[in-house]
Amino acid sequence: MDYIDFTRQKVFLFHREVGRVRTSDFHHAAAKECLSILERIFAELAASLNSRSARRDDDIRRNACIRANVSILIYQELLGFLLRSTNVRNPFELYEPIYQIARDLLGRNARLILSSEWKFSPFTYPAAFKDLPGFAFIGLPATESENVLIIPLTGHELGHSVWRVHKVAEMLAAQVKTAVLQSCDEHWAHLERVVGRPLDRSRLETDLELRSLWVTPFQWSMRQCEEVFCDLLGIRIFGQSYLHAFEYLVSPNFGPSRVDWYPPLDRRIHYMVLASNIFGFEAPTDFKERFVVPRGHHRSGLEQGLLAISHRATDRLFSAIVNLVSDLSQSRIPMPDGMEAERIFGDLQAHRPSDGPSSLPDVINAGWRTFLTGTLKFDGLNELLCKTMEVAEFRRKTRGRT
Amino acid sequence: MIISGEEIGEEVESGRLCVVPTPDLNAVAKRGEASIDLCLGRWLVELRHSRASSLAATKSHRRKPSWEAEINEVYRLSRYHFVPFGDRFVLHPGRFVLGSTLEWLALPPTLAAFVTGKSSWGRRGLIIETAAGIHPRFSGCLTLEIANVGEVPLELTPGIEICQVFFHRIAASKRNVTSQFSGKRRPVFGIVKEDQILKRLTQRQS
Repeated sequence: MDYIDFTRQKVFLFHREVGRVRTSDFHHAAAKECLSILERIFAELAASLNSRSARRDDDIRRNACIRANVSILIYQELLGFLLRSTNVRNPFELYEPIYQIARDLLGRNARLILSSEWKFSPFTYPAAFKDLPGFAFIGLPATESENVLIIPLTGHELGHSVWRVHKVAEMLAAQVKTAVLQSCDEHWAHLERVVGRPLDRSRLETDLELRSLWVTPFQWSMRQCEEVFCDLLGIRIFGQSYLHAFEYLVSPNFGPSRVDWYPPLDRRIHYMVLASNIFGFEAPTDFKERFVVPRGHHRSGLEQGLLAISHRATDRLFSAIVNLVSDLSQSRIPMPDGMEAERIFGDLQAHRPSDGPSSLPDVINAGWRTFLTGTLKFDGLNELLCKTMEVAEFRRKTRGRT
Repeated sequence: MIISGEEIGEEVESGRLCVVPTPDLNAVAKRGEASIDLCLGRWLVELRHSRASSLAATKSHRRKPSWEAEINEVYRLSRYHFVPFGDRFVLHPGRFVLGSTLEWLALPPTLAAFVTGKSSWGRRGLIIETAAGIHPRFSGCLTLEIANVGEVPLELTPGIEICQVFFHRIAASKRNVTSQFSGKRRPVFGIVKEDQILKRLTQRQS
């Protein structure tokens, strides 16, 4: 026996596990569709391991095994994610309205999996699978998976899917490059100082060594722009409740970011407050003071310079990102309705769910207001919010029927 | 005295009685009935088969080392099902499940109520409710004790009219009744309250 036999066995077991997971109680079709695709992927992997060419050619055989190993590594986590989507702690009443938002933003073929994460971190990029392009995977922290009040953060997670599906990176790339080059100019003296010699500015885009001085900040700035875009989209969809949910989960901070290029917390908050005002939602006056900026990791002078360039470039892109979020959501997502949130708030104050085809953002905005006034304890409020969303779904689905 | 359909409508419209989603009150009044129909919600819960020999009904009969452990045992054995709208849950003959109403009820201090099954379901062998009383000031979805005592499997579809509630006026008490079943959207097994007489009887025996 050698590695091809081992790999065949592993692929067989993975395929069998997909079949077992399929027997779980899934409440929405998307998870089963996702499992069907996984079954196909692993059937193809098994076929490639058993192909005539794999039997004859060492290179083909080795590559097929590596491809299978990588697929197992990637999709094992997804399999657990799909299984956890059946957990009855999840607020299933909220699936439908989140799915509606996902479809409005991503198109009719969008598929949504709402689940929980045991390794949740607010500072990581969500998984994207090239074989599952139409799927949006939203994982809430496992211990918070029943908490309706953190649902606005799904707006951020959806933002990553919107970023990919609408090719926002391509739309922004030229502007990011221009902004990075401008920022390089501003930091030129610092760059020369840390490199230890004069640098020829005119060769910045052509000299291979000098290219790294703007290519690295360009890549970092692109990622920062994606994060800012996702925050802004979350605010545009959910209004003020996005800020509250973010504060709940993140304040005062989570310690220094694990990745250097992640947008610094103070910048993120600054952008959020600015965007809230632009979109017409009032941010709490002391919102910035509710966070403590963590001390960053020690970095070399060059790294500090490159990071500063990327941050400055992202600053320059803020208005462009606001415009993109506005354009992408304008015809797709209604603005949160303050009057409707006020009506729902009145019902929640009376300890009763609200009746009507209310939108998810309005319900959550009313929920946060109730929570912050302290008139209802968390569990009771959570029940009322879930019931309000269930009633809204019931109203939508039975509208015009007798 | 049981109040009429018109009076139920007046209570709801005045905001004293809350039924969400609110049924078509005009239709209730027109039918001339003295009750409103409630629909089946989407959450169901059953007790799983397990190694537990039995469940103690009260604290004094507990088998676990503590009453908390006994309560946890009930939660451990609870298996929840969520049934999306348009889907169904099949209740087989001889099986028992807790369901809840889709509607959230909040009663004022001046109203009490009782819930009963619907004859069309009863004739198929579906028992809906055995603890029918709803106290004033109750707020939440009603837990339904659903048993199929018939001989054929029955399909339970969320949103289907499954029970009816009659209301009657009472003299308002100033005391606030707190119920462990209030404020819930999902059915719960809950805790059987300590029975003081039973406790004394048990203590004398031991």
